[in-house]
Amino acid sequence: MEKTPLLSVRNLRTYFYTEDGIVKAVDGVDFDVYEGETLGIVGESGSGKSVTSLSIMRLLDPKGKIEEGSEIIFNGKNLLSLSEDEMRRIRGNEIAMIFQEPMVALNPVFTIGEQIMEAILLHQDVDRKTARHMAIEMLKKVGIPEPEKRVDEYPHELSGGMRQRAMIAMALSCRPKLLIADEPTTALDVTIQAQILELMKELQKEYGMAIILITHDVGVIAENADRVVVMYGGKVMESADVYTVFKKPKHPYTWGLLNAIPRLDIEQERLYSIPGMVPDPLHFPPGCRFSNRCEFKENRCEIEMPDLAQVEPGHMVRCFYYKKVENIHNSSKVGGAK
Amino acid sequence: MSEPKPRSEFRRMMRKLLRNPSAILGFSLLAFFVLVAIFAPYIAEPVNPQMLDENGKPMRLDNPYIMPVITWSSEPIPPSKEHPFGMIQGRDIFYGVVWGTRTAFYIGLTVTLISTAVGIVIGSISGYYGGWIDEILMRITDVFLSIPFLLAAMVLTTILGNGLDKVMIAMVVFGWMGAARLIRANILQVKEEQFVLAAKALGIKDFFIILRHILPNTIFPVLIQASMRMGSLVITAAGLSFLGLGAPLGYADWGSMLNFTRNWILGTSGSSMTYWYAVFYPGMAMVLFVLAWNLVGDALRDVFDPRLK
Repeated sequence: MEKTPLLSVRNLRTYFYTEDGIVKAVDGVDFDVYEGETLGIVGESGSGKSVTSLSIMRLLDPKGKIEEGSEIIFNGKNLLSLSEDEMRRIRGNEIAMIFQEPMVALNPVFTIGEQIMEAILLHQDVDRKTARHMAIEMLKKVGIPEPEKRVDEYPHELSGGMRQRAMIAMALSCRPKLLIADEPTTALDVTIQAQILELMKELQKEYGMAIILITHDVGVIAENADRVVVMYGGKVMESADVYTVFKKPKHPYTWGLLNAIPRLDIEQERLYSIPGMVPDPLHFPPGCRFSNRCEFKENRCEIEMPDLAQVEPGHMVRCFYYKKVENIHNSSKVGGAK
Repeated sequence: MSEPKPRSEFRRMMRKLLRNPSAILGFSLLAFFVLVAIFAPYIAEPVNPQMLDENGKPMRLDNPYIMPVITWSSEPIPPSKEHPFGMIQGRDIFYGVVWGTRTAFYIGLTVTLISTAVGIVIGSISGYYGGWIDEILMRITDVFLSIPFLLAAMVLTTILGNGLDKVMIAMVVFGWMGAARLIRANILQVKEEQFVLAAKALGIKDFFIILRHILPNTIFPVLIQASMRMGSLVITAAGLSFLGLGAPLGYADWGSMLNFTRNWILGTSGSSMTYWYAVFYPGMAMVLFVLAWNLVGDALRDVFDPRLK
């Protein structure tokens, strides 16, 4: 009955060994991604969401190290035990990635056609002519007008939205099973954002691929993700399907995040904001990492780190006192956030 | 729409070059030297007028780079109609200056190309991989940099034996560090760019990432530096030749020609300018050659440096 996940991350711990000490950027992250679904990973900057994605791709810079005992199982293979060569065959081919800044994620000295062809020629046994044809086909697919002409243009000749489309064309040119989109729309205008996300959804349907959508934008997650992982301080704080997370969050951090979104249907004097700042990853508070900012904390939170526990089927929460958040939902007539 | 853009960029560069008088001077000088080098056999025919073949015509030289001895007078002979730059050690200075242009290009281009290539390889590996590889390669670079260039080149030439090729080897061995450091610094900057990460995420091999994604974005400063070094390398080679370490006796090389003047450089007593032509023509060729490359390097930097746009 239970489907096997396409990707399952178990106890992922990625530490950076810096001169000031060990930065535990990702410290015990678990989640699954199933075929064809979109998993949203949401969190503030420094929560470890980007490091998580780079760990899956094994593209950390040399200071970062994935610790022993971490597991990243993709399609039945533990990516962490593959050789660099085997890993390279997976990158771009089975797992592709798109980045935040389409302005800088394309090489300025090559035409976009050349860059898409590079990926195709690398992973598929085709000649240059076929590859070029496939590149044009891909550009057409991502909605770039006049692809026969655009294929020979340089990145600086395209607008931001077009470049992100070209990036997507590049990433999807080998039909990956999993696409990791790290803040794919953050650098774009809101209207373009919607178009790009819509495009990703369409292509996902067509190719049947899974997407990990990483963003700090809760709105983007609400619109696009099937399930959500909320990260804070390198740990998963809450994970559930998107409906549950948005309607009945149980972790104080998720609750705070949702309250910080301006809403049109409620008159608000001032927007709620989570008190304090994201702690320096070298000096997380002892106990629960959110404890120094939590409005519901008790003494125990400052001593002991709660486990990620299942509170209802498919809903995991890392909090001792999640019932307190539940009670707010129950007492508040508005429901959802506040 | 897509076609005119690169061309307009090219036109913008050309306009910029043409508006800069020193650039025009540099390129004209360089063009002049190139023409002289190409047409050397026509400008100064490689024949020995002292030796006639059976038809009574002067014999062609086996090796045109060895200046023929046409008179046995050891004293320099002032410019005349037949020998417009005069003669020294029995050899025609005009012939030596003309054929020496080829030698200068040969030395400059070969040494610059090889040492820059070596520098690019070492700098790329060092900058891209970082860590202990970088540490080792850069310390080796430092060691090479710490040895005075001329001294090191002299010592190595002495060990290898005399000859132009040995001088060139010595200059490559002690001449790659600048390019290596420059390319390393540029790569450190470019490798942090997201398109490099994006290329890695596509599964592209390190070698191709360096070759296709990083180097094209970092190569211009190195090319500019290389063009600047062309001139100074020719001076160094001439210096070694002057010291008797470089080209063999009588080779058409500006430095060896100056070597001939060592005994005459002070002139006769009371008039120091007596043998001016012996120093002036080869020296002038050298000065203009270096000037040409420096101006060209400057012009290229002005055109390509985005900060000066």
